Amino acid sequence: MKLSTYILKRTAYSIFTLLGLSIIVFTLARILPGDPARMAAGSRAPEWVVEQIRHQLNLDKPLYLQYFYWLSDLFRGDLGYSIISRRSVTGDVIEYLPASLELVIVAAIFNILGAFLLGSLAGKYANRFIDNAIRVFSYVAISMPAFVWAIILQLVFGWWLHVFPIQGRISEGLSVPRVTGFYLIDSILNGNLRAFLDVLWHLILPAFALSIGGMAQDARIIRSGMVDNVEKDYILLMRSKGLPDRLVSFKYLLKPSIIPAVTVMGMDIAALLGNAFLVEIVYNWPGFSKYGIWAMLNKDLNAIIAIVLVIGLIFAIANIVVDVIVSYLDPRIRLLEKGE
Amino acid sequence: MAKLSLLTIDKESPRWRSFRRSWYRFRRNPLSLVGLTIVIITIVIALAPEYLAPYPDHAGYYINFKEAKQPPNIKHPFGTDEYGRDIFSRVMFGFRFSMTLAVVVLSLTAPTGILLGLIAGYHEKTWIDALIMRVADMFIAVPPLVLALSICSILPPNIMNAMIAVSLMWWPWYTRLVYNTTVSLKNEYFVQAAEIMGASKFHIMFREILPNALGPILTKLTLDVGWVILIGASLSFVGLGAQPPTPDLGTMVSEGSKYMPEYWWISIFPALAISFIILGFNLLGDGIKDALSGG
Amino acid sequence: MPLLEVKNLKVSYKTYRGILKVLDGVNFEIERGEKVGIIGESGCGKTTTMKAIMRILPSNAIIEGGEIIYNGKDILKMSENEFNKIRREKFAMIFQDPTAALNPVFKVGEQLIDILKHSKGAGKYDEDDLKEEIIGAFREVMLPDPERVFDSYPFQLSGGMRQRVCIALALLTAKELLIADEPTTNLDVTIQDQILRLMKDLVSKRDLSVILISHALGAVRGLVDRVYVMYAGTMVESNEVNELFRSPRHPYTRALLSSAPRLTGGGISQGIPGNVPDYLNPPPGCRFHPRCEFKRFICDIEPPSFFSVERGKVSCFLYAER
Repeated sequence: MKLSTYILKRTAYSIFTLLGLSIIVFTLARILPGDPARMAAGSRAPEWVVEQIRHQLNLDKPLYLQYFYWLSDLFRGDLGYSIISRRSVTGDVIEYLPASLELVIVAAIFNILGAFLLGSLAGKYANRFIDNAIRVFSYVAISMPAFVWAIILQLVFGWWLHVFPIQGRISEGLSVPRVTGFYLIDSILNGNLRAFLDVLWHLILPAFALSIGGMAQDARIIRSGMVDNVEKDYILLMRSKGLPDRLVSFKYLLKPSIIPAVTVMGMDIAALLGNAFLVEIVYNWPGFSKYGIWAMLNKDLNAIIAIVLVIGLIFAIANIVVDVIVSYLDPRIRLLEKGE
Repeated sequence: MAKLSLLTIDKESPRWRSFRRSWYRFRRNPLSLVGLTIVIITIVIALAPEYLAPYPDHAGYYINFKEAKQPPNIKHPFGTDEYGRDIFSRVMFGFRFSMTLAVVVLSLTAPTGILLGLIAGYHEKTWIDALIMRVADMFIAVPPLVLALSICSILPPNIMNAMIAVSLMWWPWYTRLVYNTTVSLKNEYFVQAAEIMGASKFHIMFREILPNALGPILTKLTLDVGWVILIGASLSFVGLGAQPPTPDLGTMVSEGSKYMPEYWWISIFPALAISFIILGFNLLGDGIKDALSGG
Repeated sequence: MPLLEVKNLKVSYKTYRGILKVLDGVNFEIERGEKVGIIGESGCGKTTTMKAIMRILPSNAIIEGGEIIYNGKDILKMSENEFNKIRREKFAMIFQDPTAALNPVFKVGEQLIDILKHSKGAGKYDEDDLKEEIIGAFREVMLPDPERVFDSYPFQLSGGMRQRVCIALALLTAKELLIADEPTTNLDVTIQDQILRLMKDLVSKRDLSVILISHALGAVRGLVDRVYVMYAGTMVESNEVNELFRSPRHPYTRALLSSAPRLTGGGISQGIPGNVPDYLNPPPGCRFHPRCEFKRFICDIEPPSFFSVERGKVSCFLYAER
C-alpha cells in the first residue's frame, strides 16, 4: 500500500486507541474514593461551596455525560481546570511540556547516534576486544535504571568532578526570552550563543542518563544484526565480487541490520517518555513530569488525565514516525499485500 | 482417538534431548552463569533476610542518632542512614520487597495475558480477537511507566496498589506475544491435524500451541522480573509505592537523595542493589534466549 | 596449463563442539573453457571448496593447508587487494538460494549496478550505460519485462526470476570462471529444467570455465564435459562425464549411481550402508572405508592418492596397480 495510506490508517487507529484509553482513565479516575469537589474547595469550606464546585465541575451528572462534556471540551482545546494550580490545564501543559520534550528529543538523538556508533563498531570487530567491552558496558547500562544513572552521573560529574551542572536547565544569571519554550531554539532565535551553549551544557547529563539504557540495547541489536547478516549469501555475493569493504559494511550490511533496532525504537521512546519523569526529579528539571508528579501526589484528576493523554499522543505520533521510517528502510513491510 | 501426549518427558524423547541441548548451550556461556548466580543469590536473600542480615531489626522503625550517617565501614559495609539504620541490612530486606512485587505481579499478569493471547489468537479475525487486542492496544498506547504512575496516583499510595497498577499495565505484553505466536502456528499442519482429529479448542490451545510458545514466554518472564522491579522501584522513588519506613529499594534511594552529595551512600547503595538484581535477571534471560534459539 | 588448480586443500571449521575437519586434501583442476561438474551428497564439502576458491569462507574457517593456483600464483597467499582484482573481473559465483543471494532491502538494479561498476576495474562509468548492459543481460536470460525487474525489490520476483538475475549478473561479470553452486536445487521442479537449459545455452556460447555443483546426477550430465565425485571432503573420482556414468570405478561412485532410481524399472535399490563420517573424528585413511565392501588392510592406514585410470583418476587403492 502507498505510504500515505499507511500513515492515514495508523493515525486513525491511534486516535481510536487513545479515545479508548481516555475512557478507561476517565472512568478509573471518577470511580475512586475521594471527593474531588471537596479537595478543590478545601477542607474548611462550607458544604454549599462544595456543592457549587461539584455542579461546576459536572460531578453531579452521570458518568457518560461527564465524559461527553469532557470530550467536547477537549476538542475545543480545553483540558479542564486544575484544582490545584487553579488555572486551566491546557495552560499548564503549554508551560511545562516543551522543557520535557526538549530533553526527550536530545536524549533520543543521543540514543540513535550512540547506538549506531557502538553497534556498528561491535559488529565490525565482532568477538574482538572492542566488541566484548561494548557488550559488558551494554549489560551494565541496560541494568541500571535511568534514575540510577541520573543520580550516579550527577554525583560523579556534577558534585565530585564539577564538569557538568547539577541541576536546572540554565545557569542563574542567564535567561532566554520564551518563544517556543525550547531553550535551544529560543536562544538561537535570540542570537544568544552563550545561552545556547549553557543550555546544551545543562542538557548533557540528564539526556545522557535518559538515553543510555536504550542506546545500549539498540547497540546490541544492531551488533547482532550485523553479525547475523555478515554470513548471509547476499553479503557473500558482494564480497565474492570484490566490492570494497567499506561499501559492503556501511551500505549493504548496515541497512538490513538496523531494521530490527529501529523497530524497537518505538519501545525506546516509550522508555524515554516514561523515564523522563524520574530523571527530571533528580535534576530538578522544570518540566512536564515535575508538573505531573505534583499533580499525581495532589490527586489533581484533570491534570492527571491530561498528562496521560498528552503523553499518549506524543507516543502515538512517535510510533507512527518510527513505523514510517521502518517501512522506508524495509520495503517488504509496506509493499507486501496480505497473503503474498 | 490418538492420545496427543506432548508433555510427557521421557529420557530419549525429542523434548528431553532438546532440553539437554539447550542446557548445554546455556552452560557454556559465562554470562548466563553469572546471571544465574546473581539470581540465586537474590532469591536466597529475598527468602530469608531475617537470618542473613546483620541487623534485622533495622528494617522497620529504629532510631539511633549516634550511629546516623556513618560512611561505609566494617560494622556497616554500606554505611548507615539518617536514622542510624544499617543500610546493608535494609537493602537485604529490600530484596524481599522487590522479589515479592515481581512474583505477585507476574503470577497475576502472565497467566491472564497468556490466556487472553491464546484465545484471541485462536479466534483470529473474529470479534473476540478484535475486542481483546484492541483493549490490549489501549493499555500499550501509553509508555508503561506513565500509565503505572497515573494509576498509582489515583489510588492511595501503598505497595498493594503499586502492585495493582503495575499488573494492570503489564498483561498486554504477554497477550501480544502469545497472540503473535498463536496466529503464526494456527495454520501449521500439526494444529490442522489436531482439528481434523476432533480435538477440542481447549486441547489445541493448551497442548499444541502453548508448548511451542513456552520458550519466548520463559525468556520474557525472566527478563520481566527485572523490569517489574525497575518499575516498582521507580514508583516508590516518586513516592507512590511503598512508604517509609518500609525498606523498599526505590524509597531508600528517594529518601537518601536528600542527603546528597555528602552522605552519598544512603542513596547509592540501594540504587546499585536495584541494578544488581536487574543485571542478574537480564543476563539470565538473555542466556535462556540464546540457549533456546541455538546459540 | 589449467586455469585453476586446487592442490591438497585442507579446511576445518571451529565450532563449539570442536574442530570439524571438513576438507581433507582436495585435488581439483579445470582448464580454460572447460565445463566441470562436482557431484556429491549434502555436506561433503562442495560449497566449502568453492568458498575457499572465492575466498569467502566464514570467519570460523581455518585453512590448514594446500594451494589454489591461478595463472601460476597461489590465490590463498595473495593480498586482499590483489585477489579482489581477480574476483571482480574474472570470477563469479551463483549461489544456491536465489532468495538469500540478493539483498532484500535494496532494489535489484541498484545492487547490480554497484557490482557491475566494480567489475569493470578502475574508472568512472555512466550509470545509464551500466543499466543498459544489465537490461541486455536480463533479456539474454529470458527475463520478462526487464525494466520492471531492474526496478524491483527481490521479494517482488519469483524464485526462478531471481535466479535468472543472479545468472545474468554472473555472466556479465565473469570473464574466466563461473561457479554455479546447486543453481536449481531451491527452485520449483518445473523451473529447474528451464534454468539448466538456459545455462547450458548461455555457457556454450562463451569461452568460460564453469564449475557446476549438484547433488542431482542428471542435471550435471547434460551440461559438463568432466565430472568430479566428492565424498566427505575429498575428491574420490574424476572422469569424462560419459565415461563416469558408463563405468564408475570408485566404490562410492558405483553405489551412488546405482542407488539412483531408474525410470526403466528394476525396482528401488538399497542405499549405501553406514553413515556419513563425523567430521569431528573422521575415519583414518580413506574416509569411505567404513562403508566400503572392498575394504583392504591399507585403507584405514593411509588416504589413497589419485591413481590414473582410462580418461580419468580414482582415489582408491583398488586401482593402485594400474
